[in-house]
Amino acid sequence: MGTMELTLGRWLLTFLPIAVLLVTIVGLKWGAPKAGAAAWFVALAVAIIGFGGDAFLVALASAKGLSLSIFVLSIIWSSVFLYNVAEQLGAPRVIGETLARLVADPLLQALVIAWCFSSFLQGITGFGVPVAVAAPLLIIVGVPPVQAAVMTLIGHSWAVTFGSVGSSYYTLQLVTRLAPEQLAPWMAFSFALPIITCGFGVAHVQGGVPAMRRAALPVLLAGSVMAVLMWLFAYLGAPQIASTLPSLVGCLVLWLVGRSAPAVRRVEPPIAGGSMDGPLAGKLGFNAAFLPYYALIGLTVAGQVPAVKAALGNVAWGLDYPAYQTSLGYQVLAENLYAKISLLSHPAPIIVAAALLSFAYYRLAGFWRPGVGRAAARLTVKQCVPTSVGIAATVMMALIMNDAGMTTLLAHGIANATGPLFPLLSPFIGVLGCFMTGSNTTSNVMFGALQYETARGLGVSTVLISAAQSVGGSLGSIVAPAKVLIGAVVVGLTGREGEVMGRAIPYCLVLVLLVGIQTWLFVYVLFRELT
Amino acid sequence: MKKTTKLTVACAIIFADFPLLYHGTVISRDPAVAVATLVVLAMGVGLALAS
Repeated sequence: MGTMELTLGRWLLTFLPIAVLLVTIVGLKWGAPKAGAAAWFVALAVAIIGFGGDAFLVALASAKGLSLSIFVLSIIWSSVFLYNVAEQLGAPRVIGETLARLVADPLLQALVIAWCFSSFLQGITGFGVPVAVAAPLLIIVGVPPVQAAVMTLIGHSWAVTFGSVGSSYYTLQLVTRLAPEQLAPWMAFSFALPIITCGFGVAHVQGGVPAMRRAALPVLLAGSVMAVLMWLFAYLGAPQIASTLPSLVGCLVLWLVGRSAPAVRRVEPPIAGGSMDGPLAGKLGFNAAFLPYYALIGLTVAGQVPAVKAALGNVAWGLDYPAYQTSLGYQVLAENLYAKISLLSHPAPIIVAAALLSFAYYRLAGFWRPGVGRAAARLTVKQCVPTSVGIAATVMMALIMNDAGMTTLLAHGIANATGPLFPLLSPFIGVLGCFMTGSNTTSNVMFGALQYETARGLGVSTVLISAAQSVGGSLGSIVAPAKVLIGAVVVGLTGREGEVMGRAIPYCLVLVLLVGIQTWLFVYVLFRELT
Repeated sequence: MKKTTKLTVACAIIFADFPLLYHGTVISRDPAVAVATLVVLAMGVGLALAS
């Protein structure tokens, strides 16, 4: 790989593109596309001036960045389009109201909507949709606006990494090059604690410590089931549904608890008001509303059948990239089928197939109406263009830093400065990335390789540290300004975002600190032998 | 130009430039082509910066 002398000046130079991102997003309140663009230019200049790169290296790294962006953005565009089609037909509202009617206890309603249903939405879409859909449902069942926004922000945060049909997880796996069969199960294992603590967080917002005590049985029961299922799907090679299905089963467990445990059941009016607002919501039953997601789950499971795998497992698209060396001697290895999109294991083809199946059903059943596809496409373009530019610019910046040897140097500096405390701080780096960009995926692009390299430098488990990065990035969604803004707007608190943020920050800090302690214990005490 | 239009054009330039960038850096490995396509990419990113 080549070595470069680590000096404070060189380390600060390396940090410059990230500092630009931080200052422009947090200080100047720029959006991700603009801030990412500024950081790309700075990374380009630093790579050429300080790290022996040239225009060819920058072009090559940017091309790799665009390869990786296409990998991630194909998931984002297809899942957002699928959701928008469902939304045009009123499906999310039907699903949410059905789930809210499952239980009568306000505490269980809060858990069903904010902890499980919002996580289900995160599993299939993301990008603020869980907050936008679940927070108004909480208001319908009588939760005050600030609590509704904070509960949803906390409740869905455990589902972000494997959410958006796995985009953050896949991105981390690509940038760290860890084996999927190793990374996915350990990642899911690391999420067991946050799954449960997010449930307790929602309960605390609902009614303080007494509510936490009352919620102990449902949260521990549903949380354990969701944690085991998340691990199982990750282990079985289906990370794209490792948030979606567990959160649905979580709803079911909470429903069973609500029916069978009088200690947590209180008779309250089930739903105070509200109505289904989709054009066909009155006609659409739960199963029809849920059809796109039945199809998504069914196709994902079908893709794991050995005969299907044998027939279609090798159908994939990816690009080869040559090896390269900077004038300072940093070597970049050649890549074969970089950012490979496989027909069976990449979520985008599966989502497209699910959308086509759903379209066929809705047409035949008479639920479809002219203009739905066009309206959904228009909305998808509006939502996804800024995200695409932001992700492309940030990913290209991250790849320039990687290929010029900047990330390695940055990581060595952090490892030297923090030493054995690094595992404790590792998830906070993930939070920082998500806070800056509003995206666990972008956080993983920015810091995934850095965390991996730092772990290598310290001689500790790269798998556990990489997992901690993404767990931190996932929980960072609680305080990411982009999501807080959505939460505040949908509950009618425009201009009072600070109130929501102020309530959410302490929960985020506590949850991430617990993950930091867990990571330190995993790395130095419980799983010392893990590489 | 409106911010949304600028971002849409920036997005189009960046992703339309990708095949050319790949050709210049990987297939032809011609530094002149690579630099030319990098300049186009910089224009797309620059437009995003100006949005």
